[in-house]
Amino acid sequence: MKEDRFDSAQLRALCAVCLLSPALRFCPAAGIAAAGRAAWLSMLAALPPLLLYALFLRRFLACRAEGEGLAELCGRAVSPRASRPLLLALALYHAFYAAFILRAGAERFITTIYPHGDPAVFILVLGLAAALAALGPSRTLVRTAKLVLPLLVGTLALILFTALLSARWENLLPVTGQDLPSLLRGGLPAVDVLAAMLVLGAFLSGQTPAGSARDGGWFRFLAVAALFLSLLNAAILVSFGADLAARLTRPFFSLVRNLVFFRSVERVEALVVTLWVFPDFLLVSAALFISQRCLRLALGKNAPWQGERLFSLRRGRWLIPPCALCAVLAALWMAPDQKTFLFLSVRLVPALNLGIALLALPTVYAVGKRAGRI
Amino acid sequence: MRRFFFRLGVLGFLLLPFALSGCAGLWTNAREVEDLLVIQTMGLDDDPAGIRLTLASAAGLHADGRPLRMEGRGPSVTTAIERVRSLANEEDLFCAHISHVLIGEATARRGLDRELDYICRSPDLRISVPLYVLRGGEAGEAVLNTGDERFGICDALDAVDGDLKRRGDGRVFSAAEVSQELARQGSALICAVALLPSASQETPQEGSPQGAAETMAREGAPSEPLMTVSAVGYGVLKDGRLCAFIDRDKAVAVGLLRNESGPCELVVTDRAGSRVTIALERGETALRPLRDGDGQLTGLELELKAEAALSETGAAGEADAGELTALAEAALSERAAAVLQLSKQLQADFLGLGPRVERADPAAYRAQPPFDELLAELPIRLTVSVRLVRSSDLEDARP
Repeated sequence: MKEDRFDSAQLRALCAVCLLSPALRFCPAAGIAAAGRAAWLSMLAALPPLLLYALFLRRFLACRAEGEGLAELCGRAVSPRASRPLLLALALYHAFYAAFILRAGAERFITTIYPHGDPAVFILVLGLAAALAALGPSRTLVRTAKLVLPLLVGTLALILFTALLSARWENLLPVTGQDLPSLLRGGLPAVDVLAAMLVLGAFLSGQTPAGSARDGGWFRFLAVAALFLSLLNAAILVSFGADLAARLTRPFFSLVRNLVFFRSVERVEALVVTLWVFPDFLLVSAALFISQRCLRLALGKNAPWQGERLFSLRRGRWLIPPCALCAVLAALWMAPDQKTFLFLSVRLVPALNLGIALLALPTVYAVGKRAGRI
Repeated sequence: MRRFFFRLGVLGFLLLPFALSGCAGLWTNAREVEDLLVIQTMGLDDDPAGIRLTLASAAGLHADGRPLRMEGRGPSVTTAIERVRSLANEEDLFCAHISHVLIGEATARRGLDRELDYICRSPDLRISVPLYVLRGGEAGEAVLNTGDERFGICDALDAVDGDLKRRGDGRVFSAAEVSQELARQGSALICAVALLPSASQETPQEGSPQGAAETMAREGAPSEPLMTVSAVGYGVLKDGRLCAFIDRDKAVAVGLLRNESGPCELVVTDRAGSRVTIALERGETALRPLRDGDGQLTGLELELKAEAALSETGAAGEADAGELTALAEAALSERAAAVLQLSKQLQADFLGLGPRVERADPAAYRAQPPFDELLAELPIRLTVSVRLVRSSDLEDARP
C-alpha cells in the first residue's frame, strides 16, 4: 500500500516556503509600523517566546502515536463530547485561513501588476489548483516545497543583497533602551507568523516518524527564519527609512520595484510577484489539507491517505471539494474593499493565529494531560 | 475511453475560470514590445484643468529615431496620462520605465504632496524615480523644447544624472529619498535644473548664460537656440513645498556638510589678482552637539575637512601653498556659512543635522523640542580646513 510519508526536514522545507507568504505581506509593514527603525532588531525580542513555543509543541507532539498529527492529538486530548466541536472549529479556521491567503494573493497581484484586475480570476485559479493538491497526498506538497525553496531563497538573497548594497545604513540607527517597548511590539508580527508555521508543521507531522519531533531542527528553523526576517526588515529600512516604510502597504514589493540589477535590468517585480504564487499555493493547499483532515476526523472518517486515486470520493474524501469550495467562495466574498482587507490582514487573521497557537493548543494540551488522555 | 472523457472534462473545468471570470482580459491586455512607446521622462505642472502632463521618449526608441514629446491635461496625473494615451495616435504608451520626473517651479512651490503621493501609489512608476525641479519655468516647457530631432529631455536628464554622480556640487534625489527626508526631518533637497541654451550651437548666442559658451560646429543650425537642461544646484523643500534654491557654487558646501562630497572645483583669486582653480577631491564634516549641564542643546560644532589639488594657476609660482589653502578655506567657509544660514533662516534641516545630533545622544535628543524649531536660534560654530594634497605635475605651490 502506498504511504503518505516524509521526514521532518522535508516538512520544514514546506513550512519555510509557506512562511514567505505571510512574512512578506504582514511582517515588514506591521513590524516597522510598531518598532520603527528598531524593527530589524525586533526578532531578538521574538525569538525567545518562539523557542519556548517550539519547546511546548515538541512536548505536545511527543504524546502522539505513530501516524497521528496535531489534529488527531487534539481530538484525543479533549473529552469525546468536546472532540467534535474542537475539530470542526479547527477545520473552519483552516478553511477561513486558506480563503484569506487566496484573497491576499489576489490582492498582491492587483496592487503590484494588474491594477485593474478582478480578484476572482486569481482566487478561482489558485483555489482550483489548491483543491486538486488537497485531494492528493500531503507528500506532494512537501516535494513541491523542496523543489521551489532553492529558487525562492535564491531570489530573496539576490534581492536583499542588491537592496543592502545601495542603502542608507544610518536609517538603522540609533536604537536605544528607550526603544525596548516598541521593539517588543515589533516582534509580535514575527511571533504570529512563525507560530502559525509551527502549528502548520505540527498538523502535518502525522506523516513524519513519531520520534522526529524531538530533534533540534525546528529550533534551527526558527533561528534561520528570524535571521531572514531581520534581514528583510533591515533591507526595507535602509532603502526607505522607517517613516516611509510604515506608510507603504507592501514595502517588500516596493523595494523589488526599485531594484536595478547591473544598471540594466529593472522592473522585475512581475517575475518576483509571480514566484510568490508558490508560497500562496502551498500554504492554501496545506491549510485545505488540514481543514479537510479535521473535518473528516470530526465526522469519524479515517483520514490518512491510503493510495486513493485523485478523484476518489471514498472514506470521507467527498468532504474535500466542498471544503475547497467554501474557501474559494469565502475568498470571493471577503474583503470587498481595502479597509476590510487591512482589518483582516492586520487584525483578525493575526489575532486568530495567535489565539489558536498560544491559547487554544496549550489549553487542549493542559486538558489532555490533566485527564491523562495524552 | 471513459477515462479520456473524464480527463477532458477536468481540462474543460480548469479552463472554465478563464472564460467566466474576466481572465480573458489578461490576454487582451498583452502588448507587443515593438508596439510600445517607452516613456522615460514625465513633466508635471499645475494647470487650470488640474494638471499639465508632458511625456517624452528617449531618442532612438521610436521608429524614426526621433524623441517623441506629448502633452495632455486632466484633473489628475492618471487622467492626464489616459488623455495623452487616447490622443497618441497608434502609439502604445508604456510608462513603466519612466526614469525622470520633472516638476515646474510654480508647482513645486505649491507643494509636492500630490506628486509624491502619485509616485508612491502608482504601479507604473518606481518609488526610486529621480525627481527634478525646473528653476524658473514650467516642466512642460523643458520637456517639449529641450533638444531637437537627435536628442530630447530624456537624454539631457540622463546626462545631468551621469554628470552629478561623479561630482560633489549636486546630487539627484529620488522620490523615495525626498519622501523619506520630508517624513523624518520635515525638509528635503531636490535637484534643480534650468532650461539653458545647449553647448552644441553653431554660433554662440548673445546673452547666453555663463557655462554654455563653448561651441561645436554643426550643420543646419536652427534659428532658435538649441535648448538643454543643466543642473543649477538644489531646491529646498520644507513641509513638501519648495521654498528656496541653493546655487550650484554653494551646492559644494551642501555635499560636504551632508557628508556626500565628490570632486568639484573652487575658483579663488590670489593676492596678485590671478584666478586659481582648486579641485576639491573629498571631504567630510564632523558634528559635535554642545549641551549644557541639563542636557539641553546649546549649539553645534561643525568641523569641515577637505582635501584638494591645485588644478590651474594664473601665474606660476606667485601663490604658495599656505596662501592657496587659506583662500580655499575662506571660499569654502563662506559657502558653508551661507548654506547653514539658509537652513536656520528657513528652519529647515535639509542638511540632516538633526538625525546626526540624535545619533550622538539619542536620549537627550528625544527629550528636547523638535530640532528644526531649535535650529533658528542654535549657535553653530564652523571650522573649515583644506589640505592641498597635490599640485599635479608642476612644482609651484606644492603642498
